[in-house]
Amino acid sequence: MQVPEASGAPSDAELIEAWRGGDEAAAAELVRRHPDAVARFLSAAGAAEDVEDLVQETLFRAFTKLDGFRGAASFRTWVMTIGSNALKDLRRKQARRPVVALEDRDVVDHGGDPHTATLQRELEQRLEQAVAALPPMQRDVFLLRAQQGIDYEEIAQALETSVGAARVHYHQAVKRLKRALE
Amino acid sequence: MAIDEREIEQLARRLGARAAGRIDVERTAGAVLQRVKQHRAQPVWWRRVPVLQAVAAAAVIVLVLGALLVGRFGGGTGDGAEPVLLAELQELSTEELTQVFDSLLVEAPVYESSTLGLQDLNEEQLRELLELMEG
Repeated sequence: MQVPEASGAPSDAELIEAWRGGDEAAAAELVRRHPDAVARFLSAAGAAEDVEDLVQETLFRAFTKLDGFRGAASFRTWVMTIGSNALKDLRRKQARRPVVALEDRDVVDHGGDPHTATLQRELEQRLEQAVAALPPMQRDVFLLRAQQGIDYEEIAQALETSVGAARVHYHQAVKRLKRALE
Repeated sequence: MAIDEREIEQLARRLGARAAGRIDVERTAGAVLQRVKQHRAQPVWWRRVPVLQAVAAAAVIVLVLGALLVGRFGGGTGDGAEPVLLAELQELSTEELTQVFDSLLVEAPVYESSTLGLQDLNEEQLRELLELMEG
């Protein structure tokens, strides 16, 4: 997925090269481009109130692993796979932590008709819980595809799987989510 | 209530929007860059200490796991139970091994200052580790 850039703005790949050459401003620009998308991904994956710390951890890890970034997938997609691992590590550390209450979860305020808005909120809360409960691979493929709009080929490259397997994971995820929402 | 794939995708696009809205991009960028600079300022050997710690921790986990399994299946009888159990462990995938560790409530090695955890070892590395333990 191409990261939207202002006309004439350097691409992520160019910023990475500049950073490798010691340009700190390039690193700062690179970091500023992705926190929102990474936060949306991690929150939907179940990060709840830990999102900001997790975004920081994810971006930090990405920088320390930058030598291993080959550009097969976009930088943003690659960062999200790192975020998924960071979330998994956090879960391990917090294994005994109480489950976040339903009302604390992150949902959008819809405004408008209160009844419709309430129904919509409930549906989103249920979806968010169902997404967080998916097996990690299904969850990651689903969010990268449905939430981030990334194509299967790039998802497959980022997650080091085949396009066919990514499609299967996606359809399995949707099947589970449908069941959870019925 | 039946819901179709398109509706699920539409809902998914909205997930996490509030969390994203709460992120202070400048603060996040500043914090990340500060950590990156600190990391870069460390000597290379110091950066590798967590890697060695992780490998050592993994070795300890395998030892504990081996001792538990040997104890459970009557180790010490001289009937060669340990190699058999280790051979069985070698058949497990990375994911399965991680699940075994999890089921024993053993925390995988995760370090704030490192990107490496047990889950970062690939299948071959885990197998090598087990082979080392087997002696």
